[in-house]
Amino acid sequence: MATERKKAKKNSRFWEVMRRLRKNRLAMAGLVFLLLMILISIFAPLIAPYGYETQDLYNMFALPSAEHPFGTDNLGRDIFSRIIYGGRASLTIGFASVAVSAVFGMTLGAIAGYYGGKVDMVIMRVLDVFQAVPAILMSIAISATLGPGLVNAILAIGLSTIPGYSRMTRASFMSVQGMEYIEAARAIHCGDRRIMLKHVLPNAVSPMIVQMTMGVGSCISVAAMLSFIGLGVQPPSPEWGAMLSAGRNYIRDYWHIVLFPGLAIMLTVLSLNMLGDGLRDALDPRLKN
Amino acid sequence: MSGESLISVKDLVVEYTSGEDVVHAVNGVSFELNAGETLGLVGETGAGKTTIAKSILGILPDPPAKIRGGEIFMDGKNMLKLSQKEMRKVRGNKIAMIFQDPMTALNPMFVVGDQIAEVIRLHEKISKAGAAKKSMELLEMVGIPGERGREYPHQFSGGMKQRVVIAMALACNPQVLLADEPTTALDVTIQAQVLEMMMRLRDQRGTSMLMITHDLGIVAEVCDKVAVIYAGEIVEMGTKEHIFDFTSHPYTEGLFGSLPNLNTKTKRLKPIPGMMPNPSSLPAGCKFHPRCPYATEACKTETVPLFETEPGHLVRCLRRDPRQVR
Amino acid sequence: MLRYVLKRILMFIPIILGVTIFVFTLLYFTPGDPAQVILGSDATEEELEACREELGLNDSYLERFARYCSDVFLHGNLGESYINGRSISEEVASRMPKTFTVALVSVILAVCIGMPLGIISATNQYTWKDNTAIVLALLGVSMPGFWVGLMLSLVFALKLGLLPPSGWGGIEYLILPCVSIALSGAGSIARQTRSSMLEVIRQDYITTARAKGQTERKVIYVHALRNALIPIVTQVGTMLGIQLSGAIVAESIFSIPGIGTYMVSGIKNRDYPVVQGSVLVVAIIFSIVMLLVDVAYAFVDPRIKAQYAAPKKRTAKEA
Repeated sequence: MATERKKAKKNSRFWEVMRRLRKNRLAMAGLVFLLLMILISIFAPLIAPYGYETQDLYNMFALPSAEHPFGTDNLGRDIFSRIIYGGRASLTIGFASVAVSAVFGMTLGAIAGYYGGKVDMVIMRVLDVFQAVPAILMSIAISATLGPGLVNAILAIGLSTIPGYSRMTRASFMSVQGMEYIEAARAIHCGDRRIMLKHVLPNAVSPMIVQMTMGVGSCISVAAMLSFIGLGVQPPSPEWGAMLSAGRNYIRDYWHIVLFPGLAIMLTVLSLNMLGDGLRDALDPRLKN
Repeated sequence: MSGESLISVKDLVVEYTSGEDVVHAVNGVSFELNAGETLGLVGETGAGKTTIAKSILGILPDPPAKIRGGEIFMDGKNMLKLSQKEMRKVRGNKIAMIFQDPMTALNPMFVVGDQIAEVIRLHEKISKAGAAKKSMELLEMVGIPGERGREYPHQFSGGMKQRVVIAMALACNPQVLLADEPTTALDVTIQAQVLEMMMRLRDQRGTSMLMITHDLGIVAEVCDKVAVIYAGEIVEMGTKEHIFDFTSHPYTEGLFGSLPNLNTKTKRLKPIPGMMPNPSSLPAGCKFHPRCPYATEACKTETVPLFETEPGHLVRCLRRDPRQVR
Repeated sequence: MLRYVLKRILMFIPIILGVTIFVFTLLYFTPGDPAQVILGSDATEEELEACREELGLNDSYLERFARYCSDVFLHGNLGESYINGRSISEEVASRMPKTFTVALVSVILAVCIGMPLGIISATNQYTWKDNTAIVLALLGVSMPGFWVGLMLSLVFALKLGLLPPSGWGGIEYLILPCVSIALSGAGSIARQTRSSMLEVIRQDYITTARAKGQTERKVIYVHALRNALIPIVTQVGTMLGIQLSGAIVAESIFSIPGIGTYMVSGIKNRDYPVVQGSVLVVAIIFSIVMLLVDVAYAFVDPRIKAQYAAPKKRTAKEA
């Protein structure tokens, strides 16, 4: 994204933020856990002791043991392995849907904020309508239209969270409108696109990073909820929400089927939130104290 | 003019802790404020003036601020030893404070009349209606129509807000008024008006005042005595006349040097070179020595006490050491 | 003030229209043939075609949209279920109060837990109380509500037998679903309260209040909280929307006959008018709540009230 000239400047700021972030123990714990989850998901076949569809019908509903650390489910599948594979779906949805909503949201927000006037008004009214439907309900509605599946879940969740990103981007565009350096850039005939990308957008970056970090967490949560009510990723593909959905009928006698996938969601979301909090403090030290 | 001692501060030490750093904001300050007298605390931003005032009122934010030592007496009682409950009876009642920035000193959520009435109701046995009536009178006293008490702070200009703050401070007829740069945030044209009004009210009511300022012009106009603060210490203290006519400390000299003097032909102002030392790592010896034109080797190591050059005129400078008058 | 309220109500109309267009369009493009859903897989093509004609499915988008709008807004008719042919409006009307109760109670719970937690946290910054509160709030916002619901029903209903695991009736039926979705709300309210209290406590007028000799309690609960409340009020309003959707999930866990179970069954049976009607009604209710929040906002903050009050006579103040 950055040109060579800007890289040096960017880098020093990057290290400054990293230095502050390193001091924050909660944030570092979050980061480490998140990286661990990502690595585990990537190398799932190497780490998981069993395949995610390997059924052991002699060993259904087994409680946690040395053989099956988190026990087995109603089809005798190893829950530990399924959670490891499930991380792939959950993390993919989390990051991809944030990417979708950030790209669409920032573009819309930038256009609205930069051009202002009628364009701004039309975009904002459309977003008002969008926001009149609670985001989760929106993702349920879109998901119901698109049908189940990983990609559709990403689209449903991504599209439903657009307004937040748009408003944020628009706000930072508005806040720099009329500032001298934008005028200066215009005066030397910088193109609209160039002004937006090089001069205005960097101002929006800090809050955006925080919003996106936490957004990944909430998207993971929403995705799990979608598969829980029968939308999104469908069984038998391993996905944490789908595992909860499949296991809920056995909850009375076999608590472990429901406990561990839920813990996986919670810890992942928690680590993202801790990292997000830390990033916010590191990016904007003014807010501390 | 001056009567018996009303407030006496002895060896006050205040520190702020932020992370691993300890900021030495006030380092052993002692002074007396007598009844009916106005003492000016003069110094640069960050010298510890506001901290001293807030310590007297017991409203330092703790954490990060901590009073490490010293005593503050009023009416023979050490106020640092008073309970919170006893202290609350002092605040706003016996001692009141005027803050620097009127734009932020009033609560934006309440009409100003209620904010004035609040302090009256806290300290006086008075009905709600009585307090409301009194707050209107107070507004009139500072030159604001009483019915504007029903308006919110955002409906007032800066100068008007500061008048409201002054009315609020004087509401319970306090013995002592702590004025923390009361005119700094105002337009120059308004400054004089507000200052004049404060002096008039002070004289009418015989209130003692601690005037915190960095403006020697205000000191000349308002104060009886002056204490010059540098890096959390008093470097020179005496009557206004003494300080102005027999300036003894190089820092005070510097303060005067950076003012234009209309009586002598000054071609160029002489600013004090350098910056105030970082209060988390103060220099050894005289704290002013890195900026002092007269600094000697001794200044860098010796702890300098206050020397009394004349009765009532104290100076913290080795050059005034009576044992080695140069 | 009245002008402000009127203005907000006027803005409300196009939004509702927009939501209707959106919901209608979304389901218009939903793949699948409603006639097939209604008649089942062994219907003949003629039967299907007749059914489509009867439902008006062969009409153009605009015709269908106009009909839908006139049905909904002029006759309060959300259509009939494909599956059992029952009126959706009646169904929604009987179910909505339950969903709304769950959402409202959980918002109240969230406020009652979250605000004190945030205040304690902010007024004891950097102490163990603050740290505990921060961690609790973080856990709260990180736990998926439906999972909390499952675990709570496991412990309190299935194992301990203290509360009913499902159904609808007295207060005891409300506790588990409401708590399960309130926790995340409480967490985010606590976080919002903490940060806005910290912001406000730093302000000069708080020092002023202390300097007046006001008690610490009143300094915090009258002077600080009143100012910190503005962002919290907004958040509580938005939260009702979140909790309405949360309630949808909680209902399916605790088998509450509300909009949520209705909608989920609609999704499962591809009964799209049901989904359409439910989403529309929830969105309208959410918009009304946001309208009320905006008005409440103006009551809380005199500065906003002033913007919409009749123009002031006094414009030229002192210099």
